[in-house]
Amino acid sequence: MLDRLQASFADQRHFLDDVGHELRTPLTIVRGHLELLEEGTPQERERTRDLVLDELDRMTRLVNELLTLAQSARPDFLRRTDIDAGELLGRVQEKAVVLADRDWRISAASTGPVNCDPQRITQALLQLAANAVRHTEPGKLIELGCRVDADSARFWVRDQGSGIEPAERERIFQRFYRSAGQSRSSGSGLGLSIVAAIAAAHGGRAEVESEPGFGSTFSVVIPRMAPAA
Amino acid sequence: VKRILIAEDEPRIASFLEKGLRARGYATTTCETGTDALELAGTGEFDLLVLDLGLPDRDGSHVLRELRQHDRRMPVIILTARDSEHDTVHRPRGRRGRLRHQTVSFRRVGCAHPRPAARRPSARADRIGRR
Repeated sequence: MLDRLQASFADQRHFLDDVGHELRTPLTIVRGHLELLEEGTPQERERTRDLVLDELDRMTRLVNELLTLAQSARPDFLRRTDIDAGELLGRVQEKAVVLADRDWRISAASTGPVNCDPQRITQALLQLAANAVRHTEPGKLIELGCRVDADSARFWVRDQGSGIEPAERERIFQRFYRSAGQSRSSGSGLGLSIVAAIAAAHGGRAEVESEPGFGSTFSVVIPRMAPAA
Repeated sequence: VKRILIAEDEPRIASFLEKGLRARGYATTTCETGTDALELAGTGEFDLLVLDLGLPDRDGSHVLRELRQHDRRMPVIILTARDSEHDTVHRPRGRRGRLRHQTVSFRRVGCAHPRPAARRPSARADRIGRR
């Protein structure tokens, strides 16, 4: 009991340390560039302005994502409704195609009603789609799929990117984890945490299967019916 | 001209450090990893190291410790965005290492107008970094 309390306290401290770091970096950048604003040429000043706005956008996204994570533990986080799994996947595909130039295909779609929050599930799958875009070249295949069985529904996004090493697979759902070579500019580092939080709010889970060199499949698996409260 | 080595992997931080220091008359070289930082610092061509603790390849406090095994004099300004990192740097430095915490700011480091090789920044660096 005490161990668990200490562990959760340590988790929280690490989390706050991470949040502090992620917010201080853009603050440092904005401050540093603004202090030198007067020394620059007009073109440099214009670049500084764009850079500052970009950093503020980034901070806004980060704060919004932190709020989503905080809200995900609340009972009113989800707006549940019954929706056909295949129809939901079709809506996700429509939104995914505008993310980037990839060969977006639905490789498998079963039908059947699922009780879930369609917007949150869409948000989670689009996050996985955006990650797949980041790890693949233009024009490459990204598959979306869903399978419904008696008790659960599984939605997935499969890419043919570089894949994820086994040691990394355990860490990628952690908050602020970025894989090697992923800089701050590629994302907040909270995307997969949000996917996992959305799955967990549904009483489900997020999973990854991956073969280095051949690509990765990220799945959201949720019960078809809301768990009894 | 004083030469400053900047070890910082976030390009948008490195860029304003370079710009600000050059405008104040310093020559700067930037590297993105701890390995490069140690190698470059070992050449003896630099008067000061600006070291980010969050470098991708190795812990900044390791870089500092390793640097101190060969070079006890080079002043080091440490950049960190993490409160927890203050502890990791403080301990190995022992009682002779003095460490001061400040927000990164050109208004504090240098002067508001470009002035070549101003004395103040290096004096401050000594206080922050020297053993």
